[in-house]
Amino acid sequence: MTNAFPESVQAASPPLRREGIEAIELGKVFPDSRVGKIVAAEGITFTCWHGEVFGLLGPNGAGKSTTLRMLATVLDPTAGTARVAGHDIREEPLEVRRSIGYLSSTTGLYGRLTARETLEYFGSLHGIEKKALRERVDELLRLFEIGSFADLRCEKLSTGMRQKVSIARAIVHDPPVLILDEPTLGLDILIARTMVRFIEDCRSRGKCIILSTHILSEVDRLCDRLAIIHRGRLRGTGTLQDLRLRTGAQYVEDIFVNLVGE
Amino acid sequence: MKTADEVLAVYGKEMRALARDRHTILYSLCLPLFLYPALVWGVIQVLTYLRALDQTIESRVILALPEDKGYQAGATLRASFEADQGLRVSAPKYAGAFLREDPVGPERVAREWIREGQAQAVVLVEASEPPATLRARVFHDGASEASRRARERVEKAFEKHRRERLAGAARSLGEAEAFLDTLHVEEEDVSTRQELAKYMASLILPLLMIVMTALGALYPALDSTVGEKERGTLETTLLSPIGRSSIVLGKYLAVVTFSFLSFFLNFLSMMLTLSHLKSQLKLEGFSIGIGSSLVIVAAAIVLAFFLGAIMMALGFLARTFKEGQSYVTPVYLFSVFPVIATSSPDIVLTPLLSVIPVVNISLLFREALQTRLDPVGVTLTFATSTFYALLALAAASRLLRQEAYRTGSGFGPRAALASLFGGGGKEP
Repeated sequence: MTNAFPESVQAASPPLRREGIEAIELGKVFPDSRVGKIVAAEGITFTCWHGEVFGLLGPNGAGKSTTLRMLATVLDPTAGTARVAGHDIREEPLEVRRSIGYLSSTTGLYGRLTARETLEYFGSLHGIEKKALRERVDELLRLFEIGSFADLRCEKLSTGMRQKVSIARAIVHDPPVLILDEPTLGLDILIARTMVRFIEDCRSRGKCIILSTHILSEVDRLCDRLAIIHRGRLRGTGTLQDLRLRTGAQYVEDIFVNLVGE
Repeated sequence: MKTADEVLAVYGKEMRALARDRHTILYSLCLPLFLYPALVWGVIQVLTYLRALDQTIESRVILALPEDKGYQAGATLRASFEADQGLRVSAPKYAGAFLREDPVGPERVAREWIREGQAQAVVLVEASEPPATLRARVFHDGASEASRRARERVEKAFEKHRRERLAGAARSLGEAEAFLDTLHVEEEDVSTRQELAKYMASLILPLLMIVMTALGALYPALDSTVGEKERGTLETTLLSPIGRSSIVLGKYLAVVTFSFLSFFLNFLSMMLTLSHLKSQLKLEGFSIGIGSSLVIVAAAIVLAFFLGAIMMALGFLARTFKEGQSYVTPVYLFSVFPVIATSSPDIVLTPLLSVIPVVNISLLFREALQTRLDPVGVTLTFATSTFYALLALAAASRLLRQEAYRTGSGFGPRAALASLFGGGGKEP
């Protein structure tokens, strides 16, 4: 099956401990008719390795989603740049998009397509050959236990079912880098658990995963390293242990408060 | 992945999604196919019924006759009026005097009688010299259908009475009626039934064709642009490794397909309706040749390309579906107004009108229906409409490459114009 994927994706599947994402002084300023401009992100610099989960922790409006959407080439940075799977987000956006699986609450599913059609559509946009795509879709349907509702339209699916389809959609092309923007937002405990297991599984398979969250227990359980982001700027980066040592605080909540200085 | 494959993948998805959407099916397919023929049929039935009803409705008329020297002539006139079964005549004594002697004038009294429902028309008859000659004034309310009907019936009764008097006078002289009626006017229509039918059809069909093509594009254009922004699915597609232009083109082709389908179904349906109801519509002999049909279909395709591109560009400009509707509705109306404005048969497809969008297609439709196509006008119409469609498509593509518009954080039409004519917007 792997042979049927575009060469660029195969070539982009790197060994462990290689940079999956490298953000360099990334910044984003939105024009605003009322106040002139809004600085959503400024001087964001970090590296995310393959085989690790890198967390972006911050309150609503801190700049997490803006940062992730810049990495996914949805937004154009106004300063700095980033390399994703070895490709510059400014210079090679198509290659970047070929290498990432992006999942967020803003990436909706086509309600009038069935789960199977959704996977086939996005697989075809990634250039996967028909036969290989059928096999890949069947594999994902099995993996996420979608089979029983694979031929139902997405608009008729429950939140949990939709989330499973969304995850399958994001990884239909088996990307080396996963960008997850608050992936458990609004999910019930059981579905959130499925998501957490999925992330752990991806890490064990050497994927580079960056996820944004403001759920502290998720940070504790999933993130190998994390960055605290507040008002568009990174306030601290490292493992949880590093941050504990640096701030002298034990709990993630205290670490966060200590670093943002509020 | 080749660009053509990318476009086809997006097109296939859009077609599938739109074909499963109730609004699109209703407005783009069902409405043109069923509603308009049903409306035409319904209108004919209602008119037939009203015509039949009209025969049974009496018009109440007050006839104010002269009391003195013209009395005899007035009595004959009254007999003519009473012979008309559609008129219920009342001729109260002194009505004429009452009307004539009103200080403000007979109009005021007549108006009051009509407003109060005493009559639907008031006829004031006065004698003049010689005594057998009558002069009549007919008062009616032009804003009332019943009053207008009464006036028409009174006019017919007068005409009948006039001919009877002429015939009587001629008889008394021992001559035929034509002896006194020295001026004969006869009208002759030199057009064939087919020409007349084509002319009648060309007055209404272009408007319907343009309305249907615009309506067919409207919902798919909004659904595939701002609708997707609202549902968050546009971002999902934008995360795919394909060019923005491929996305725009795939969506555009789906919008054009539905727009054209809408036109085609309406055209087909209207043709079937007309052939079925030719006699009721007085369109016997109406037919469209293959050449004209091909020109009409080709013009509809160009129109679908043009309207689809404009509506998609506006769809990308909008932040919400409602905003999209408010942008697109004027386009819909503006595509109808010029058609109405140029509906006069005297306006033809000149080189100048050939470069005005929508107007040119409307006139081309009309000339194709009348089988009087001018090659220069046809060529100019196709060339300019294609050019405008490409311009609008380029604008749509450029807007999707603008971050603010693809993410739904745009700042309205003014900023869009700056984006369109300013820098940025590189592929992909």
